[in-house]
Amino acid sequence: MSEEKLLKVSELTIHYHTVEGIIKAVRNISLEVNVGDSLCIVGESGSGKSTLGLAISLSLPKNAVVVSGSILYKGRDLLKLKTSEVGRYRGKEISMIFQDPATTFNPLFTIGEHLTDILRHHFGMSREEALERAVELLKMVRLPDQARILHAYPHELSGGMLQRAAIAAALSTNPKILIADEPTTMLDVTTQAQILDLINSLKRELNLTLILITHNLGIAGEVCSRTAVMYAGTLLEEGPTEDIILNPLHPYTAKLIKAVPIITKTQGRLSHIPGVLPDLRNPPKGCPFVDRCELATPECSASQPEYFRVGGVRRVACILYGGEHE
Amino acid sequence: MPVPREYVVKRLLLLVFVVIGVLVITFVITRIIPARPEFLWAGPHATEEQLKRARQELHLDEPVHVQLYYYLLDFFRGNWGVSWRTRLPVLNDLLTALPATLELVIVAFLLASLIGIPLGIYSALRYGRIADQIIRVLTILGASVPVFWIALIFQTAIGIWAGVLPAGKRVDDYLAYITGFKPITGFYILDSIIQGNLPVFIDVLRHIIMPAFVLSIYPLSLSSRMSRSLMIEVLNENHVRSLEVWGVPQKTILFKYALRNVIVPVIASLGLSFGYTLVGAFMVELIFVWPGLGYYAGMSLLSYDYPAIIGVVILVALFYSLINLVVDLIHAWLDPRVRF
Amino acid sequence: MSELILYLNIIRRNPIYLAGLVIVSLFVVVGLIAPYILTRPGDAWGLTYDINKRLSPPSLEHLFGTDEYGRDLFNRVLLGTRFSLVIGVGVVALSLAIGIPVGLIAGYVGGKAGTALMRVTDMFLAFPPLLLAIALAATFGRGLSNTILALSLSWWPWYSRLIYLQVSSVRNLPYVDAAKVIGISEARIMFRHVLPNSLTPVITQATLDIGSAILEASALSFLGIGVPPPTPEWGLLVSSGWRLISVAWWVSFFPGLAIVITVLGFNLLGDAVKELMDPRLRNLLSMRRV
Repeated sequence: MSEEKLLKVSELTIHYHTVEGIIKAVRNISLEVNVGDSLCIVGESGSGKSTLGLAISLSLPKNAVVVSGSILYKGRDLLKLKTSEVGRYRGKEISMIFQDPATTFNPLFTIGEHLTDILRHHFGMSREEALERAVELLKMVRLPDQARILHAYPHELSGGMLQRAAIAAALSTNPKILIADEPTTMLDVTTQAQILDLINSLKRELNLTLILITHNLGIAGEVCSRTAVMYAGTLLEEGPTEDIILNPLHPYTAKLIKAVPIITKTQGRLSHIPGVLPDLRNPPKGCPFVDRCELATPECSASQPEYFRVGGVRRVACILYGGEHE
Repeated sequence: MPVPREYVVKRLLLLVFVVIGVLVITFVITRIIPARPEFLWAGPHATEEQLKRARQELHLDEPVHVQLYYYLLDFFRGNWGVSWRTRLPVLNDLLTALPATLELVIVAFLLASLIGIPLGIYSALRYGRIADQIIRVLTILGASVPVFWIALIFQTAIGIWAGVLPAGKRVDDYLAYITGFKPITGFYILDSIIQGNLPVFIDVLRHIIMPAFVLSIYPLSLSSRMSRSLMIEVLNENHVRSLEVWGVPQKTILFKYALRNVIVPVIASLGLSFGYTLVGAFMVELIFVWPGLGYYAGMSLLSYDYPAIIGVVILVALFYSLINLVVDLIHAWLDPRVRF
Repeated sequence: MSELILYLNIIRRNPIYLAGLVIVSLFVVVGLIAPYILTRPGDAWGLTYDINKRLSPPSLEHLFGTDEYGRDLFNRVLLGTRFSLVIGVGVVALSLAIGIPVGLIAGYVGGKAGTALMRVTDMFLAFPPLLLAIALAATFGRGLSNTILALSLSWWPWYSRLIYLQVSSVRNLPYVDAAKVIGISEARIMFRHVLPNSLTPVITQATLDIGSAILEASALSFLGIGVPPPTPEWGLLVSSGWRLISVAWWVSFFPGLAIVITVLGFNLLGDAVKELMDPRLRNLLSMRRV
């Protein structure tokens, strides 16, 4: 088995130009994903995790600027593609689903219209062929009564059904990588579990490579073999999900685990991490978590901590683990 | 997608309600507010005899609810009073004038949507650039210009001084006469096509283009401004992003998906501006000697021909309600979310 | 207040918006002082005439030329500012005076009575703009106050609707319920708490509507059912030059230009306010795609 990486993000830095100033959303992030991997990117809102997802799926908003770094897909840098080449990768190799299924589809068009347009564009199918394939796709995502759903407008379907339809749309082109950006956040608890199950089994059936973006470490535990923790645009820690949850290295990860909502615990408030996110227009020079960290030392704010390898498969950006350099 | 029957029924009931409302309000304006309504209805030079007859015809000596009853009865019987100026029944006058106005207003609306919507979308796609700024200022200007003034300027500059287009009327009478043009429907564009009369067809177009354009300035600005802000809004919607991520080409996203999100509400609001445009036609027709409802209304206003004025007001209000009904049904047909 | 300063700052930086602000300020100032700065008050008020000077084209002596009675048009247009200001402010103020109570009562009382009240205002809205004003103006007869009255009676339902929507949304906010629970009277809630919350957007809208009111008033005058001559109302001045336009274009041109500039000022300002008030649009300044 070849050990070539499917996706390799190196030292990626992305800024947004806004009226309020330049927001440094992603700073110097490196990640690797193998074929068939499932990687969770965990972080609070504003951590830059969605921007990273949009960058990989070639769908950054117009006001986003990639300052430096590369995204190698099968050895090809996606950031250096010509406009004419983008279409060969976007949707086709790397596809994506989003947080709010209610706004994922255009309200004035049926689900079928969306699906057939994607199919016809990617495979040059006729209308009939596309419709046939759309029915198969809806079956694949376990939606019953496919003909009715094809003719339904988005407002006529529930959030769970729409998210399934979105998965069908995203997978209709047989992509290698599926990026799921908070796919269950807007759904109720039972539907959440069903959608995660669906994503899990589709991943196995289709041998997908999955990148799941979430704020909830619990979801990471259910779905992904590896997890990366992001904070204020930087990557703090990365490693096998089980290790991270059972034995968090970075102080931030430890606090994040305490904040995981556990449904059985009805009493007691959700624990949250005291303090606020740093201003991303002017991020701290040192460790971004320094203001909220109880273990912080003066050294922490001096410069960005380097990554330290722990146990061979984990890395963490915290001086507590100094000694074993990457 | 068919529009559900309940929605149509509901909307029709609303129309009935609105029509009754319009009639009651005009009743109050014409019979309750004036101290001596018969003076308004019989004209400024009415004799004692005529005033007495007017009092009788309007049932002014009877209680208010009886007056209202006869008012409604007369309305539904088509007895809308007699114009002092033309000495003809008002309803006859109005129906004769209607096609000319409709032709003008329809052409104006075609211009407004065919120019306004693409202009607004172009402006949105060039958001913040110089072209966008220019279009934006021009369309705000378009919504600020009094229609009678711009009509006068166009007529004088293009029609009289430059002499490029005719300064008024619907068709050259001499040309119509020698080519044997006969109005059938009253819509001259249609009539000239039916008769295969090319010279008159061209002449009719030359006559209509200037007043129609002047009349379209306001709805054109409106539809352009609305298309612009809707397009900007739509392009920031999640569904545009998801189609993009799934690899649907920009062209399809813009001109199939986003376009419908823009056009549906713009058409709805153009429908609402129809009433304003009909009233604008009062002045444009007056200036361009266009023998339609507006010319009739304008002449009636200038000569204080009260029965005629009120007749126009009622007809235009009814027409406006009817247009709103049609627009709502089209809207419901195009936007599945509206049907509830 | 700090919001207002912020808005003024943003307006100041955009030349288009700034133009709107300057035009409107100038209009108000000229409207207030016009009667005291006239060089030919007799001409302006239409009391004097000079047949020898009739229809003179624009010159240094008569910037806008003279009309068919030889009156100086510049002075007449200048004084017209006062009439437009009076009409614009009058219409909007009177409409608010009718519209706010109706909308407030309908929104606060709610239920069947409230709905019925709003249905009545809906009936008024079934008339296209200007049409109802035409019917009313024709009934009342010509005159400045009749023009204001006719326009206001056709205008108020818009404000009722706005207030109604505002009040019925504010009414459902938690703090109104909380106030009831601690025993504050309904009337007190209505006037001390609900009304102030609902007024700002309505007054803002009304201020910007002054331009449209001026436009509609000029249309009534042009149609001969507004202000009677020799009042130097702009619409009336345009109408007085109508039949002479091919020989003396200036008689209609300059008063019309005054209308355009004034209404444009209000509309530019309105556009600015709309863009500033709409948080979505404000975000678009940074988050555009395409």
